[in-house]
Amino acid sequence: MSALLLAVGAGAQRIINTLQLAQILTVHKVLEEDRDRPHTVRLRRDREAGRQIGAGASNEAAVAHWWSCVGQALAAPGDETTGRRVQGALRLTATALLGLGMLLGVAVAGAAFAYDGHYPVNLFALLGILVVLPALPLLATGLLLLAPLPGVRSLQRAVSAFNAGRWLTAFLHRRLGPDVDALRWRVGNAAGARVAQVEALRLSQWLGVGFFSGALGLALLLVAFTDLAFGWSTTLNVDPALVHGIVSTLALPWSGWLPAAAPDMELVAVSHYYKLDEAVLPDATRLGEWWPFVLMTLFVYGLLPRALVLAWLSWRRRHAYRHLLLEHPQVRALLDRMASPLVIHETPDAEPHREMPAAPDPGIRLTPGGASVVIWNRALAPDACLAWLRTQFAIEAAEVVELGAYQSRKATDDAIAGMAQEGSERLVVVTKGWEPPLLEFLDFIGELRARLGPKPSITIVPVATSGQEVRRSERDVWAATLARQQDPALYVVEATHGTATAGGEQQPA
Amino acid sequence: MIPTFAVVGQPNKGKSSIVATLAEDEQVAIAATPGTTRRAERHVLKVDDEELYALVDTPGFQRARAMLDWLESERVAASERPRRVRAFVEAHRDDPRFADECELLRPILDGAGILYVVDGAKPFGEEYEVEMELLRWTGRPRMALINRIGEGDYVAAWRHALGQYFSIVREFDAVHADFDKRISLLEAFAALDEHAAAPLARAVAVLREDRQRRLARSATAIAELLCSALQASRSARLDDEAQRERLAERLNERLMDDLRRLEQRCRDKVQAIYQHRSLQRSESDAGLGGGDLFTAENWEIFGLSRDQLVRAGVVSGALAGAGVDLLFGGASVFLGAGLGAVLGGVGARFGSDELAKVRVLGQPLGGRVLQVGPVTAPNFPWVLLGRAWVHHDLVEERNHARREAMVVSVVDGSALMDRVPDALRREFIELFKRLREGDEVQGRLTTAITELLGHDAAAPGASRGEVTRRDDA
Repeated sequence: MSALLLAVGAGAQRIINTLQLAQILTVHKVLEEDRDRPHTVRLRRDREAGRQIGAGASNEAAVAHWWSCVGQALAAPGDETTGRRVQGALRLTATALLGLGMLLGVAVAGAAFAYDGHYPVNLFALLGILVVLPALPLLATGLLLLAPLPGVRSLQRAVSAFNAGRWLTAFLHRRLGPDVDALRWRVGNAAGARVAQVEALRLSQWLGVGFFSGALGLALLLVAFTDLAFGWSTTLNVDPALVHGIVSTLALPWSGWLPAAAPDMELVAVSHYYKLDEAVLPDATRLGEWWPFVLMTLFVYGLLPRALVLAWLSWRRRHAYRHLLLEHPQVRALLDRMASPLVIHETPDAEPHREMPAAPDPGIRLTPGGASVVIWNRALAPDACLAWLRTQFAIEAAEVVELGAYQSRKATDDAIAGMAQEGSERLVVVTKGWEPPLLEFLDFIGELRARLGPKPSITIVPVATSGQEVRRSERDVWAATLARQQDPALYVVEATHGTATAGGEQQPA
Repeated sequence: MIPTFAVVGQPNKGKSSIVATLAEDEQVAIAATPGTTRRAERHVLKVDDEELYALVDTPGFQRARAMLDWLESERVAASERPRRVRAFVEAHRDDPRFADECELLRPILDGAGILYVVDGAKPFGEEYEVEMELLRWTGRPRMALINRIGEGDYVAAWRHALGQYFSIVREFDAVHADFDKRISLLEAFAALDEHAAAPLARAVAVLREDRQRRLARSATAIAELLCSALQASRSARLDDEAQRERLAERLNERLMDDLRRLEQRCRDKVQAIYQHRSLQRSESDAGLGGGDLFTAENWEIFGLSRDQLVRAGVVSGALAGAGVDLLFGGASVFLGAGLGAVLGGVGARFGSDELAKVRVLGQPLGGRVLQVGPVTAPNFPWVLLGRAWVHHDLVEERNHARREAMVVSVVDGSALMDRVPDALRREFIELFKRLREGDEVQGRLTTAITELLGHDAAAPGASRGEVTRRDDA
């Protein structure tokens, strides 16, 4: 078992290490669709997966494990399409930008290195076009990578409007549809916006890497197959020592291990030319010695920063993907379900609800006259009971017997025998209407019937705690239970007046 | 064996209600007709696969007298009485007359503690002594629960009687007990069985944690509702300029329906989180205009007052202006914040009353689209939040034994949103502003709503389900 879990864990780790946008979008899509399943079903299922992976696993590992054991099975065939389309579109766009950048680099470098032997290539113009100008977008990239502070935010918004990567991601977002919200750029902290930002900036860097690769490639070709001469020229009164200082500073990163690419003072001095002199230089043969410096400058200040930023953005993208995966509300809910103990109240032997069979209401209106009276379970005191029956129903009791479950079996048997001997034709049983009719009461009625024979009527009169009529709902409970006895001479008294009773319910007239 | 408690008593005394309440199970059958429960039903609290305790809902005593007669027909010493009860169950296993008694005694003979339920709203009667005596014969630890179903009050008499048969007598309103009372009862069960103390303490801790998680899940659902509702819009092709107004009206209606559906979906989710799936809602017609989201009265009750809206507009405008100040490194001497505050306040006071913006958008391939939404009415998120808060408050404390519709009624008092702490209200102002700007702030919003749900929506002195309206309204 542990070997299996280790294998699953290793598989999960592999998925995390190669976390792809396509997978993340698919996980989100499946979880969005999963929301329609009942909460308890998801709770049980996901908790099971959570217990398999254990509490110590990282959130990514937990999601990856869930995906391998639950999510994949839930995915519909078309669920991965969107993610794959996005990923494919991003790859294609990056490749196209790399190619476009190379073309641009070749074109711009071709113009900057233009040399017909008349004047040397002006180093100031060359480095300005190929290094300083392209550094501005790099600075803008740095600004966009800053945390969205309130003051910087507006500036970031303004700068981002000129970002080529942003235009492309916005275009992809429009083309691929609203499912791909992760490509919607916003200068904010949201996970999707962060992915969009990183992807947009990455795309921009591919353009930059292509540009400098093209420029460097062309420069190498020109150096190898043509003769180039470099010089520097300016209208300003600039001391060559200052230029040497600038050049030496620029060459600092490589001057230690590549001295040939760090021009000396003499080379700087002989490279200063004036168009007025028709570029007559004292030692023209040395002018070609600038090329290692030029190539290293292009590489170190052009290609390398772009490549490093691209690599860093790729690393950032991994984090942005991680956030995109984990900060999705449904993934957070999933992790919550996986980590929370499943608290359930289980009823393994649940009984289906049983409907009692209905029977005609055995209601009867008590007519005035004599009757034998039984008070069951001390529903009323005998005197109060007789008075109430007299005023309420005009019944004069020939006899009152108190019986109930509090008495022994023998006492009840003796009382029933006594009533049978009396031979009463009408029996009224006054009982607590607020209590439900129990089977021991029905037993008593059954025995009474057995002893009295089928003819005498037995009327049950449930009373309220106030000694008055019970609420209709309570009376109906008695009626429904007694109706099921199928005794044609067993009745429950009808309500007789409309005054409010102790229970507060209005009785019908 | 896990701690088990058999809930026994006469039919219709609230045994099933107590089980439904403690087990949070709205499916437990509760009916006025006696004999609804015919078999003992175990309700087990499980945490993952671990069982912590069980409640057994039993049929009521039906022939207690006859059973006691049988037990007493043979004279036995007190120490032998439990054996005598077991003998009764074995002797009557297949006797339909004592099916209920056998069914209710079986878990007790298997070691369950006894929770004897009576109705304290009805008078005590001597006949109860028979079943109390029967329970004493079992020799098991016993607790009496006085449940009150109705208006009467006979608790004192019941206490005197029950005190003679039970070591612990407690009052417990099965239908209205809130979470804390339920937990307190659960803790009291430990007194019945010393071995139950540890599992019950764990159950209490787990239930409390689970309660917090439910609150957080509800907050997530409400945050999702607010995010979706504030971004919702409806659009359709506008082919004929003359149809513009009619189309806008139709789209507005559809948008409102969408928002109603979103709210309903959120409510269903919250109810499912608290295991109230089949709960009915009834918002009083007088107060809440049939419960509809878009009635003026609803907005007045659940949203911010005009003054509060102006203050919110001031804060929101100042926040936006402060960004400009920061951009200039404070060189604008906080002119941005000041101007933003004034504009925000004026906008909130004199702004349009329309629900959502109506815009005509151009299409890349020609043609025009009329879009209604997202909702711009400043009070809308507050109304949605207020309604969700009150609904959650009701559902959270709703007892699973209650089967009638959930009612929201309106009484006069301090306004609902006055009960939101100031710091939290400021947080909502900022979050609503950012939501409208399209920022994703669901995480922060969920945290803020979790805090809000921790406060009572009911005004001090008002009961749950009573929504207060400003006295001067």
